[in-house]
Amino acid sequence: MGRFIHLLQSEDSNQQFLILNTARKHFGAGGDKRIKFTLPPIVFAAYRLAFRYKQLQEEDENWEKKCQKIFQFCHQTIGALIKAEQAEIPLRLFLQGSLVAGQIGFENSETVAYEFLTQAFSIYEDEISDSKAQLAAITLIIGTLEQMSCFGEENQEPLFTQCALAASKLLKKPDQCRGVSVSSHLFWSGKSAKGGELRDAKRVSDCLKKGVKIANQCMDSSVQVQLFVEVLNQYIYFYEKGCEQISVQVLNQIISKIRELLPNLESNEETEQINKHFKNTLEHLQHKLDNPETAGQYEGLAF
Amino acid sequence: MLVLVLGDLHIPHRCNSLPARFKKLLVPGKIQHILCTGNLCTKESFDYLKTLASDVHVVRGDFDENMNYPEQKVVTVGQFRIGLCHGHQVVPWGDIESLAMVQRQLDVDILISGQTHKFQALEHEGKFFLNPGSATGSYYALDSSVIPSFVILDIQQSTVVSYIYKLIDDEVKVERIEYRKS
Repeated sequence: MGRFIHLLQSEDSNQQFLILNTARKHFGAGGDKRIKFTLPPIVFAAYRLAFRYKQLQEEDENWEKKCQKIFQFCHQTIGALIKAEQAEIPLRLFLQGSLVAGQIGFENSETVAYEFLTQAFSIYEDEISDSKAQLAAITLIIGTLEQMSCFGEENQEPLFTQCALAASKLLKKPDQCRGVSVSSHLFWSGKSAKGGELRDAKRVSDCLKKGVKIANQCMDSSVQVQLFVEVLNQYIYFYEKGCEQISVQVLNQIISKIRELLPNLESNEETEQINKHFKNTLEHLQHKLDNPETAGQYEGLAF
Repeated sequence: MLVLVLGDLHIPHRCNSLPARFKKLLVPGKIQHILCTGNLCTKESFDYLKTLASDVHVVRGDFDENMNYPEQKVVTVGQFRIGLCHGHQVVPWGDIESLAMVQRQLDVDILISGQTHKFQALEHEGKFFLNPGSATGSYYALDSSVIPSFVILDIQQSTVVSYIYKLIDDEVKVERIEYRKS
């Protein structure tokens, strides 16, 4: 039945909205087991319709109000899924809605996008308890936020900070390290309403430093080395993008730390993989050194 | 050896089925392996893939119903180590340097990822990065012009030929790209 919804199409956008409303009423009464399959397609069809209204804005002076109505419709529909004890799907639908609202940019879209994101966060905090699911969810929230450019500083600041904070509060240390490292991207390529990337070198560096600190606290030496190699790669990523707070010395420090710890690991398949990962990372650096265009950037790199 | 690479079908959330013209081309028994970037999203689509080839590998997309698909997978076909990852976990989405981090971690010659619903094939530092796009052309919030696409890899010794199938204006167009293992 979920697939059927995509066949409900009308050339007329207003009629389409009525069709979706009617479909929602019918399918909404299907019971918790069914709405899991029938309501998400309705929400996506509504998001697509919102884009359509934007495309037709020249012909319809009420398009912005209609978009607002669509998002209210979606908010309610996703709410019904939450009442049916769903968590993963509503979280993702809210994130998608936030993306869409930000992309369309109708009047009030920033407020709608913010509201949808805070709803996603609420679900994350209240309903997602499995640690693997938590890391997956916070990574998804971060990935989504990184792509958005509709927020002014006032709204962006709490959202970004909340992400980094949530990552640092994950239960398992390796998850914390990975979550915090990923959140660093928000502070570099995150875009605000006034345009351009944030490029906050200090906050990127702070996130990665925290990642290293957390990795240091891991008791499993194999996991610890693995995390160091991962954070090294993130450091290299931002170093190559021109993050001023990351120096060659920092890279040298991590490289020598990894070199120090690697030989102490037990000889097994996992260690083999970590070795290869590290070797590939060094090869990447060598590649940069061999290339006359990028060699200068890596002056002082101690192999 | 033929490998079908596809993903981001989003059935039933965003689409109701593969384009008819694609279904006609995907005949059982011709392909040895299937590598799926994820976001099927249900068992129905997985079962369909199993009718095309018995060796089907799927990684977890953010909308997949089955939360137990692995986050990443490495498959060896002929001389090539191929990494598979949906890509929503890679921040920024679709960023080549971030994808390169995954390639280094998995130690693969070819990295296949999805997420962006946009076909892409490029060589980067001697490795091959492939995104088969969305086989159903399903909607993606950040791209208003998604074209249905999938890829068939022909793996011979140390060369991989990618045949890219795109559905443009209801016609199937095919492109060809070669990658040689360095």
